[in-house]
Amino acid sequence: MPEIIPIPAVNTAIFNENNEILLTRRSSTVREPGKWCLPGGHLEVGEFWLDGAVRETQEEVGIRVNQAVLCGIYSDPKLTVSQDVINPEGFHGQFVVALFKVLSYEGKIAPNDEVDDWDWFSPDNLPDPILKSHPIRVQDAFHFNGKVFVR
Amino acid sequence: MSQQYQERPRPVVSAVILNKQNQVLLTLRSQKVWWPGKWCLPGGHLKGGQDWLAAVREEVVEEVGLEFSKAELTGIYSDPKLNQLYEPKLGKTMSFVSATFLIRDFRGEVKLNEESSEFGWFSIDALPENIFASERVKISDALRFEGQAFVR
Repeated sequence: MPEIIPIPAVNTAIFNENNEILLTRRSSTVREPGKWCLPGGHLEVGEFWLDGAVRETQEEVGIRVNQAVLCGIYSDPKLTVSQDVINPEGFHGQFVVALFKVLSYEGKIAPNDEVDDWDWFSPDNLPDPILKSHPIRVQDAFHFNGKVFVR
Repeated sequence: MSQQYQERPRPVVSAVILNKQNQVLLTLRSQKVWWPGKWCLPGGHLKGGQDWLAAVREEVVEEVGLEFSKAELTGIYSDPKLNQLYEPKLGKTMSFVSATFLIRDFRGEVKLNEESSEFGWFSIDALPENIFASERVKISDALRFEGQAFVR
């Protein structure tokens, strides 16, 4: 059994005026291609959590996050350990994640090469396949009322 | 452990444990651990395969011997000024990200393991001098916490 190494990461939950959430489909340039997911990625060394979320969102979908609030932190190994994917360095990553709900942003959606499709989805009608850890994050962001989820 | 991992931020957990007088439990780091002689909150690394709350529970039980039923998230931290620390024994700078949990109802008597040489209950306005700057922020946030976790 390869070692499991926790990797800090961020996700953003962006809703449109119809309360639909923005998901992207992972391109063949990244792990788990073809699966839908929230925008996000690794937190860099020395980076503030929120800065990481803003940076990843801008890189992946081209919009500028102006305001966002923490709505959940995630580390449940059943969902966050990439069981099927061994990192090239020979370990399983466990994504230890802060999820931010975006309250305001500017710009048009313009994805980079990590994304081959994107769309808005109603939280009760999410696409398949989707990263297994993400449906619960969508629900948490949708239902967030001020108390940060810890899972 | 791979070289690359050394360059990733390491997730850690901290516990702000308050007694009935609103004093916080701090431990003095022993010679067996990094940064000996510093005061800190109970806590430690989130290990691979563990979730946040399991990590807090394990660290609190191991380091100070207390049990609890409820721990509330009061903040997540990665400010490099506070969470990147040079460790002389290792000769390198370690980078952390952390989640802090507030514990008010606990059971048991404080019992230290070999990672600490001393403990004390401190009021917020009389914290020991040789305490990590990050702990001051975590403690102050936990005492001001009103439901929305801080992000710093």
